[in-house]
Amino acid sequence: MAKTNAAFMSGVPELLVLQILGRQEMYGYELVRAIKLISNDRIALAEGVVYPTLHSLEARGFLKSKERSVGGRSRLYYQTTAKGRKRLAVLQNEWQRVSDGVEAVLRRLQCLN
Amino acid sequence: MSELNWKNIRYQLLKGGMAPKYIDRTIRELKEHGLDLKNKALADGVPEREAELNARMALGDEQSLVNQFLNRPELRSFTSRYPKIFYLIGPTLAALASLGLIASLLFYLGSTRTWFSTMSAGTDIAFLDKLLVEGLLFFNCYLMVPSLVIATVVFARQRMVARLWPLLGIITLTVLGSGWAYTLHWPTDAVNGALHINWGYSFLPRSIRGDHDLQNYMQIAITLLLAAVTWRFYDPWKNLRSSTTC
Repeated sequence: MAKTNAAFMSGVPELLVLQILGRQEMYGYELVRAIKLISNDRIALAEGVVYPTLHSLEARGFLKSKERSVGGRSRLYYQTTAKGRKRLAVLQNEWQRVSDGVEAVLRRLQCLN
Repeated sequence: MSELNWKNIRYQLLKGGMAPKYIDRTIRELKEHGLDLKNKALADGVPEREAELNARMALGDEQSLVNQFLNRPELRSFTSRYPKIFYLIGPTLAALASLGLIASLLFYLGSTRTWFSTMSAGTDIAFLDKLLVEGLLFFNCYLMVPSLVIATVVFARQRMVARLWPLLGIITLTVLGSGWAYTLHWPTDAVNGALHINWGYSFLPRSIRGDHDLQNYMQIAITLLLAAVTWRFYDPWKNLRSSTTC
């Protein structure tokens, strides 16, 4: 699997986390696996990096967490809040705008070549 | 699994201004994550030693893990983001709030049990009522400030904060809180009862300060000594406690 380019990843974890946890609550390990799986291994968050992102989103009210005991182990499940869904909509718009812009530039320059 | 140095991670996160409770949770999550990685590798047929090493490498090295957290100011505790407010203004407000609470309680008890209107000579006041009033007054004048000062020191030591703001807070609280003194005379057969509470130091006019200067200065000295002793011996005591706890 190719290593994810860190320079392209700014803001992406936040977008992906809010999107995935808006559908289903998950704990950190599950979330990292889900991102890898859904992105067909194109995006892989470093395992330890997911927690600062989760905690930061929670501190800003975009996620809420709930502790549960599963199979004798304590798990902290995260889920997107209503405020998080609003934030997700903003991030999706931003992402779309940047993505469209980059694509337009690449296509234009390809045509000129 | 082959462990990361959790003690060092905890220490660095504390120094970086994260709250102890939050750090405990973070470390618990990271440990569980490491265990999940190891179990997955074992299930895939990877030998145990290799599974442990892979899990540890996947979590990241200590310094980059710590930096990931410390690079996010929103994860730092309120006390580390606003030490001035917490250590300087907080204890002073807490002392004022306690004082207000105790004063309200005294007046409430006094009004419901008619102490203040019946402290004329010959009034018999129940022993328990006397004990309650004297206890509240004594706590307010002599115990409240040392208790708050020790709590501030312990809080600051737990969070490994720099000395400046806690020290200024402790001095302010001690000076403000040690100026109180009271005289209380319960009524006897021949003399009316009286309760006087005053605050002051000798640099204030005599009419304000009362006659308790030496006692107040002693109280400042003892409180600051208590703060210094707590500051000095908190860590050794904590280490001793953790080494004797199974």
